[in-house]
Amino acid sequence: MIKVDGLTRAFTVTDREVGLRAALRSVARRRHRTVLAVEDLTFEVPGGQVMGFLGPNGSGKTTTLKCLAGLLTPTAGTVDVLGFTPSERRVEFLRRLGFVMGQRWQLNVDIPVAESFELHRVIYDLDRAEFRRTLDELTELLELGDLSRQVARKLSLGQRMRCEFAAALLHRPAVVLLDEPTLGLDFEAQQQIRRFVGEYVRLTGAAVMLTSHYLADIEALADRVMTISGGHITYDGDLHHLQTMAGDQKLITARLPRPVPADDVARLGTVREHTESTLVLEVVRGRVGAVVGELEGLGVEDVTLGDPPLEDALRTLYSTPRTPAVGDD
Amino acid sequence: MTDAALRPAPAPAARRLTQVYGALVRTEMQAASAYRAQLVIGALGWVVPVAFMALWRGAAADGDVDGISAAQFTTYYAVVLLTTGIQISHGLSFQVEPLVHSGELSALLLRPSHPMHPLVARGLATLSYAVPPLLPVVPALIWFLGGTVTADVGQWVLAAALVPLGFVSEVYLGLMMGSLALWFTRSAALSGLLFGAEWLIGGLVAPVALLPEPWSEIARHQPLWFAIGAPAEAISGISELRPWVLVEAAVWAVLLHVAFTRVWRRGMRRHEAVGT
Repeated sequence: MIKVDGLTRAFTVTDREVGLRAALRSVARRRHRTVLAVEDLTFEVPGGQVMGFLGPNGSGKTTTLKCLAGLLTPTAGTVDVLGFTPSERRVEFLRRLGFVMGQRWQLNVDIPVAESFELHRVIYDLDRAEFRRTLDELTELLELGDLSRQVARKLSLGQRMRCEFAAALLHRPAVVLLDEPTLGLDFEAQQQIRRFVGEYVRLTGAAVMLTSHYLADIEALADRVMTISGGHITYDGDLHHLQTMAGDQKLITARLPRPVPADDVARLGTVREHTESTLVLEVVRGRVGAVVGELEGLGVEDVTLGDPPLEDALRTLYSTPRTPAVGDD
Repeated sequence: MTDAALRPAPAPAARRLTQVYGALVRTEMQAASAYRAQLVIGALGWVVPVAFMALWRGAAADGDVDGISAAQFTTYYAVVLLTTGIQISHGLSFQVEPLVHSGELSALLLRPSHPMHPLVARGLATLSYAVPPLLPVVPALIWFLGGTVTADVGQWVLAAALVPLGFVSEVYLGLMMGSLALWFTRSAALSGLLFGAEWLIGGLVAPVALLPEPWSEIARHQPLWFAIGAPAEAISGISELRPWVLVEAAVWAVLLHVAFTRVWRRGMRRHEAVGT
């Protein structure tokens, strides 16, 4: 559904030194330089897949999504979404695309939400009966209840975001781009959105690309993760493999029956957490058996093994300008 | 359910456009109703033509000014009150810049209709509140202040036909000026040029008949005059329109449509979709 080959997007930015003199000089003579927001990105996303798209601020995530949505014209490379070139912005393409941007609103804030939905129906030329059915489904999935009768301006952020989701998906897009969809939402609203996205993909077989700073979004939804840093893809593969990339490390969490001296645990591995009742150690994968044995010797009752948090793997990827992605030659 | 099931056979383009505008104007009328104070403030636009009416009536009190009587000035500016009151180009030219720089344009670009349609619809919705009060005011002004109108029915018909053609041209001019925001960060300053042009060659400061030659003749062949001054000159009897003027106005509307389409397409290639 989404095929990207060698996508590059450059921006021209004005360069100016600080100070009044530099400001005055820039009136007469302006210096520009070209910044590559993304360079030579190649990837595909098939239908029915949720791909988590991660990267630090300014890494090129949103630029990539905007190129996929046709909001930006690529400087080089090709983008094919549903068989269309997005930057041509053909009506048939736009009718099959949904893009939810964290703080960008589709709803008219001065009128009841239902009126915005009705406007959406007309603009997307949706059949009235099918529109009604889809709206009922979305109302149930997103637990909108009577929210659609209220003026959008009066809704809380979470309520409004759920309504935005409904507006963005009323036309049942086959490709959905979600840019920080849970930004600023409380825990419950985040959960609702996650449940909804999963259910939507299951029902429609849509291809979804999701960026989020909440890794819980990615862990809950994404079958596959792609990371980007400095405009380059640094990883493309499954989530589990990404977690193992934090290094050859495992996390051992132990419940302590009694306090254990710090010196006794320090020699076992890197201590992540040590309280009177809990010990979390990071150890090299090959030493796990030996460390667990030693912990049992200390009278530890309960030991669990896990991968280091996703954040650790991401930190590694973010700090590496370019590491070979899975599948890269 | 497949997404194809949601899509009826596509309606013809003209019907689709009517449906979309119907829905947009309805929505914008509801939204505008939330801001009553703004609607009242919008009526302050009446001040300018009324002030010029007073000025030129005073100037013609002791005799005609270049053949134009005080009664003709009265009618001229009463009609200009209406023709300027129905223009939405200023709103268009000034509204595009914040849309571009706040990133709201991105949300509009995602819809399968031109992102300028909602702006035009907003302007039309505003007119639905602004024009009705003008309709009784204009004839009342002419009546009470002793204005004279032409008895030539053909001139009335030409003036009435010229108004929508001029309106369309003004809309495209406003959209083009607004589209400059895709190139310049502060394009609102450029939009001010449209204001100035309307005042000078549209016929707001004075009927273009009073401009020195060749400017007077040149001003009679451009869309701002068709939109504002020409219908007023015809109805007040200051000048006589020829049927050819409708063709000229229609050609301008088509040319400006083509020009706007090209400017927009080029602008979109430069569009940087700022904001998230």
